[in-house]
Amino acid sequence: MKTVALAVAIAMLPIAGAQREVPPIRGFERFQEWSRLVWTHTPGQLDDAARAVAAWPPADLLELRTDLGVAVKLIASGAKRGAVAHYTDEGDWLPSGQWVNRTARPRAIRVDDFPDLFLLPGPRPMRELDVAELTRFMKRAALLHTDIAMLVPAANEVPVVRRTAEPTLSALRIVDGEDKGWQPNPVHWDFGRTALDGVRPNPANDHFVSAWYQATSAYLGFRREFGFLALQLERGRAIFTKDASLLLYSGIMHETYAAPGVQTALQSLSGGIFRPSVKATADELKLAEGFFRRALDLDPNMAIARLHLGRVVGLQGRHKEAAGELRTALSSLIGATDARQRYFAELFLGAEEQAQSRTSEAAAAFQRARLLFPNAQSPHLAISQLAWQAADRTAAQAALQALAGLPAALEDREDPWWTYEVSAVLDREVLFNKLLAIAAEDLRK
Amino acid sequence: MRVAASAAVLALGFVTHPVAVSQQPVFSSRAEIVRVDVLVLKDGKPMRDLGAADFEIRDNGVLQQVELLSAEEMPLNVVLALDHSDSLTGTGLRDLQNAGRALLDGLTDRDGAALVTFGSAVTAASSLTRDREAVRSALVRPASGGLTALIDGCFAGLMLGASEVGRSLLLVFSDGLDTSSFLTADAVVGSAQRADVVTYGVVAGDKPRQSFLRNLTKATGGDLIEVGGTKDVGATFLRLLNEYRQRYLLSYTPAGVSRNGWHRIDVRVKQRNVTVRARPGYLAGS
Repeated sequence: MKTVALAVAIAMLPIAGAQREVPPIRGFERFQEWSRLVWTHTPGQLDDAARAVAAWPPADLLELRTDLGVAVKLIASGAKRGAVAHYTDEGDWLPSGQWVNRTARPRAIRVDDFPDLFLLPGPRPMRELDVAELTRFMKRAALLHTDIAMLVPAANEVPVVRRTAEPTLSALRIVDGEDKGWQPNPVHWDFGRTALDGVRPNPANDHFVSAWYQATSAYLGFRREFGFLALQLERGRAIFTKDASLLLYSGIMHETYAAPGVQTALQSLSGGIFRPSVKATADELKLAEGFFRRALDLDPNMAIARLHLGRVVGLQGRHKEAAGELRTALSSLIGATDARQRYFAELFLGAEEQAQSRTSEAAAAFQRARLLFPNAQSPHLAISQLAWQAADRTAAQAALQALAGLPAALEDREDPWWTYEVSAVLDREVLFNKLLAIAAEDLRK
Repeated sequence: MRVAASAAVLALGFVTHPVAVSQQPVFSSRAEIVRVDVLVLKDGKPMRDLGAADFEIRDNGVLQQVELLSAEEMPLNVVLALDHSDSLTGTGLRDLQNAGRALLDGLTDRDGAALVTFGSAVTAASSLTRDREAVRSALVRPASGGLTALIDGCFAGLMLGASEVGRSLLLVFSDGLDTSSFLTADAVVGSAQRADVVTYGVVAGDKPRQSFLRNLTKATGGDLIEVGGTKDVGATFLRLLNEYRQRYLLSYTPAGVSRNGWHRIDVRVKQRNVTVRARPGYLAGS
């Protein structure tokens, strides 16, 4: 799958922080090394800094993440000079699936150490914490770890293990309906979220943070990394309560959880293996509906949310209501350049009309879908099945003849239905370009 | 639009006998005559040499007058629907090709065959034809791959089976569960209830709850067979073909029952200790 790289030309930006010589802070040498690499990393590049951090032992990364989290909490609470946070790093799941117990590790982070901990530019001793520089650091840190997560595949691929205890962070990889094992959430996405919680004055008002959540959620949705996506969206929605895109992605995630591919994989899980937090079809559809409605409350003209709403309402058996939503979506999509959404709306409308025994209306909708993508198989199958159900054998067989006449090569007979659950995030490159443009501006200040 | 390709495919099969279907209503499942394909097993083995008098058929509980048709005089149409998703590659795919070839070798010159493959894409790789070489050639085409459109693939197979005069058998092989079909399981099982096509499913691997295939085969009077792996599929196909040839073809003109709607069919043999397998009913008016 093509990886969307962050191609920001920020190499010429000053990296004063990285060049500064600072005294080591005992117990936080790794942290300071990390800070240096954050400052030297060129966003969008798989450079030495990214490779270095990606290669650190998982236990080190987890400890670093914990330390960063405590530091961010201090920042977010507005802690002043002299403040100290004492904590115990108790342990966490390693990517390999093992639990690392670190209960005997009391630690302390001091606000006074922040300038040297984060290698912030400026004189020493620093009178006041330079919040602007700290914010720039946090954004750079998020970009570093985003690049590692996206450009270093090994950082995300971990041995498949079976565990009997419930992991704190996990993702179920599903390929063609088969459970392929567990993949604990890679720490790099967590780094990104944690770092951006440290953006000041308020991450909720920062357009970089907003763009980051939208772009990375779209990326994870496209890759169908739903376990990781769930965490991204949960945090994103908590910060951006009025972001219709995040609500749309959340709805699509639950709609996908309800789909046969995920549900059948869950069926294949044997006893003694942890079942992920995916509910039964009916519950997932309800959750999906809720998110789509919330998105439409914020943006009633969001045709794609209405299209998905129509689909999940129909799957819950409310066919007349579903048909209404889909017709509304279609009227919003008149003139839209992307024919896919119209195709889905017509295909689903056909199914809803069929469920109401409105045969001619169903046939018309399926035919309109077929005209949008003549080489897609789903409308042909739907027309055939509809005709067969209506006891019109001739029409049923004619539609099958049309199916038989489709091109043999898969690339010539693309059916958008095959990628329905990622159709909303096909514009992820646009979102990343937006993030890049914002980053270029923010990091230049 | 690839009209040329469409024309080439059309020339092979679908349009060959469309008129034949409507000219021979005795082979349709219209309300006038109901045809029931029945397998009788004793100690697990097909039982032969039964006559019409040995059978009882009740339509919605009403006893009917049964005729025994001569199955040997009717051509056999065998449709193979094979899983070509990403999970089947290399050895597995070769096993399926060999299984298909073995099945084709088991057909007579009067029998027709067709091939449907399904990954994400459902491909009518060969329409129903007596040209077994054409079907053999279609067997060795590269697999389309992708996800598993089992439900869509079975529907295409049912329609192929229903496209010609004769007794139709659909043999489905899959190593997984459906993950990408647009049609729903209920819709296709409902379609099967209107089609006179006996469906057998062969599944490989450790896949619990094959509810769609189980329901589909039950609705058509077939069976679901689980095998250990793809190497066992060829022998299983031949066994099922043999078993199918030993079924009885019964018919009756419904009397004393309503013309429309779902009709439950109960088939019994006037002997004890036998197992009777037949479709559980039909939709009148189809």
